[in-house]
Amino acid sequence: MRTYILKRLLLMVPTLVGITLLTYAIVRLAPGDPVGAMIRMQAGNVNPRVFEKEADRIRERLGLKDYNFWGEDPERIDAVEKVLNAFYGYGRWVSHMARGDFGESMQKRTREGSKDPFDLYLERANVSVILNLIAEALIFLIAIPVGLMGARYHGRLFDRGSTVVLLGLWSVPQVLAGTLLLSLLARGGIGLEWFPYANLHGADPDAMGWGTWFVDTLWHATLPVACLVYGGLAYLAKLGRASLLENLRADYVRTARSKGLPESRVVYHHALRNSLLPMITTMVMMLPMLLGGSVVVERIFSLPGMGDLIVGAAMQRDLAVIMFGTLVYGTLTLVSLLLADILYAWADPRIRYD
Amino acid sequence: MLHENDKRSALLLAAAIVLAALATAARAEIPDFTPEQMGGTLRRCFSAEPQNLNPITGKDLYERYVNDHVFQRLLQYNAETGELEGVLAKDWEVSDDGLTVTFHLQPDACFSDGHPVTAEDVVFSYRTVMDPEIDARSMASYLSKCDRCEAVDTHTVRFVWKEKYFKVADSAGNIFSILPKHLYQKHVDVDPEKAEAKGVTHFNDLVQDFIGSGPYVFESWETGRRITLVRNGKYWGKPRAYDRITFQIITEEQASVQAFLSGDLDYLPITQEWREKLLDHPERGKAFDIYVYSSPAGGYSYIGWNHAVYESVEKPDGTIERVEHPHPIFSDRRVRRAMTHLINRRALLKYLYYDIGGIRTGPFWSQSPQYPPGCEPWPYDRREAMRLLAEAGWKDRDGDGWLENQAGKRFVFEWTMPSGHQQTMDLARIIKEEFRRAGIDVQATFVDWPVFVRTLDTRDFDAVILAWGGSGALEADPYQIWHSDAIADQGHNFISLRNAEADRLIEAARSEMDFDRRMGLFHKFHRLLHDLQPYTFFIERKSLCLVHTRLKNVKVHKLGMDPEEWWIPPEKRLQPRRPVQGKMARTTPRHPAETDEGGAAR
Repeated sequence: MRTYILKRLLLMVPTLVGITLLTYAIVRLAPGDPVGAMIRMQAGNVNPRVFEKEADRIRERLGLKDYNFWGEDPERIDAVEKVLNAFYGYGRWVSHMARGDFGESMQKRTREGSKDPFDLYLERANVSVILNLIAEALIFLIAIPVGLMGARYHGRLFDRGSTVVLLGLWSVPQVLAGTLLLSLLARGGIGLEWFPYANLHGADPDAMGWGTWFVDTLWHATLPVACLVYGGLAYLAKLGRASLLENLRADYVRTARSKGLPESRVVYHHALRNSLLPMITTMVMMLPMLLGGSVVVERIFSLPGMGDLIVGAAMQRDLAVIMFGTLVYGTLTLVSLLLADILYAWADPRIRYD
Repeated sequence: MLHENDKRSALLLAAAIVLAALATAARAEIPDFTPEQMGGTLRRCFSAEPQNLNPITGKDLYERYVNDHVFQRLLQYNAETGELEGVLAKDWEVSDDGLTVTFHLQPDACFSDGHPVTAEDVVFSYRTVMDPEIDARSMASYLSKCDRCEAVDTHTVRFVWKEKYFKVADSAGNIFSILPKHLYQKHVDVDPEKAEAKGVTHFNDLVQDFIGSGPYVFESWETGRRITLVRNGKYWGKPRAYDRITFQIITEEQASVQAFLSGDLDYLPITQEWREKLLDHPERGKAFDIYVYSSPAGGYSYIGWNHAVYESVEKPDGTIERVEHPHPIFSDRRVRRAMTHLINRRALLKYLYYDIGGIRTGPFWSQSPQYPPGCEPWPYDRREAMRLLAEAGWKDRDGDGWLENQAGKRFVFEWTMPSGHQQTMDLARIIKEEFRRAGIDVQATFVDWPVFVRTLDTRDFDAVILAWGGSGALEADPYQIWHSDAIADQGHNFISLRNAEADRLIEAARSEMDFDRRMGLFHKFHRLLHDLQPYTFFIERKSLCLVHTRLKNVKVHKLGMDPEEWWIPPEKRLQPRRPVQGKMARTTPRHPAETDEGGAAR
């Protein structure tokens, strides 16, 4: 097992290189000029040419400058040179990163003034982590019993009802759900005014006792978490139901039943354990997806989280922030895949990786 | 006093290039508040977080909204009259040759740490802006024709200009805020490379907690949540009404409107769509009012017709030269005029923009003294358009429904637009249909903003749709957009309008110090552009906002609204903040009056 984990960890390196290289190349080779666009927005009424030198300096500092490999005229950089520049820039990014230098954001800063993407993500990590941990826990706690009940009472009213509801939920886009929740359940809306419309904490979170803080945070997190949960919940519950159904039709369950075991023991002891396997994997793999998927929710509920940061960066082509985000999400995804496999082996003694 | 929905409507109107980088400061006459009128919190809202709160290097409007309360300039515009008036300067004079502006500072003006504002501070602020190491190039470029700034004595400062310019006083006095030298000198002087080793933060990296001379001081900035300002206890001028001003950050417009309706915001700029939805709200007129007003900061949208095409020619020595040719279609004034006649701007304004705004006729704002009286927009007139097109040689020669020129080439052009906004797409669809009916084939192309900017820079388009933001002052300077100097080097004259008469009028007006004569020149210039129609000038935008009725003395001035002249009666003020009591009670009374900020349960 140890060798297996080690092997997998080593395999992660080329995978991450692939992911980051691809992202880097796409951002670098996309048409348009992000530094020029930024300066154009900032320059207002001023001739952008005034800033050409400044733009060049910024490009150089951010590692966005295109070099001539042959020829002298900087205006004439052909496609091959563009690709070479992307590779060169990528190499530079890797070597800087190895020294702990993640580059700097084009225009984002933390409140302390740092442009380091690491600081930028750190500043916003708590919101995303709080939201997603609650969401993940809720999905797991609700989806398993719903799915299992669906399988156990296969074809009965509960099963059909829950299937309809779950499929319905699954098909609602997050933007719609978020806006509906906001206008129907949040203050100032047109329905019940139970929840706040923005942010993760009330006024003065630092002055609150921890109990108050906890309740306050839960209260603020209710709508965004609901918005994060419903889709994943539907997915996982359907998966659990299908998986248990399959197991209930398996030979060993028939054997158990024919031995005269009580139905509850057959379901909860024999079939359940096997059915949990795919759920565990999916669950773990959902974590990075959730982190990425909270972008919409963060926007709607004004939560300063990581998703918002990475989307903003993608719109502005803020390379350092995009790359750091790719690295974080890439690593998270790979780690959770590995974790899923390890959990798989732990839950199913038949699985051996070595 | 700026207009918060600039940023929003900028995006709405297809990613405008917002001129507001130089948004001038304007203030209403501050009333003498009685002690009873003073107190309470003004709660405002941003739809995004400012990048930083550095008054010199900050580049977004949000920074400006915050720092307008914290910092002061030498001069400002009076919101009511639209004229310059002194703030930190008691008075000022421009020399007869128009090259020297001398400011006499207010003797009792002081920063919030108690230090008096002196000529040294003005000189320091000027040098900071001009320092090439400081990230303030766009601000500095407005002062590029300024030769020097020098202190005459402790309370007199002089700016000497290299050439005559009608905006000398404005540029010297209303471009940059005055910072205290004794606090920031070391941050500017430190070498950015060695800043860390010396333990001194370089000025570019200072992002908050600045000290100014304004009526409010910075209190806190909670990321993604709120920025709070508190009354400057040592303020040297007339005190303002509120004890605090908060800017809550709410990214979604739906949520910010809900925040407003539940009584957690006092002032909220909104979009036309939301105004439409709120017109029939039962609380309108009781709990809140909707204001719609025109101001010079509103700006306008337009369709720009490219006057030139560029050809890259390789010269014998290997360098590439771009040769400018007249555009085969749009270099003809008659064709451009015909295009304007083909667009039913009134109907579009009514049905697509909820009838908010006016039809623009030229480069200047309709309520500015620069606007020639009686200048009317070209009407929607298909027959006239077809006549003009036929005169220019565009007729349906082979009966296929499309117009052709003498050479038999079909009238087809590419219309480039920034992608991502529904209103622009609807607009494009309608206009395209109108053109098609006239026999003009339009190929609409939607591109990403960075690509769009590139397209403008390379001038590689036939027509674009875009908007300009306004500067906030009554008098605008047309040079950067319309002079032929701004064609080369990616200047803002990206449609390559080259007109000797226009150039002459701009130059003459810019160096004309006499107001009436200058206005005469601007009127001529406006009429000339109206006649040339280099753009199809489109909609002159208005500002929209919601203001809570608990605020008193809310007025709309010539240059817009100024929250600093409003006040809150004592019975309508917020209760002191109470922490959450641990129960999830129903939180708000229906009446949106006196609740605390978004989160706290009461």
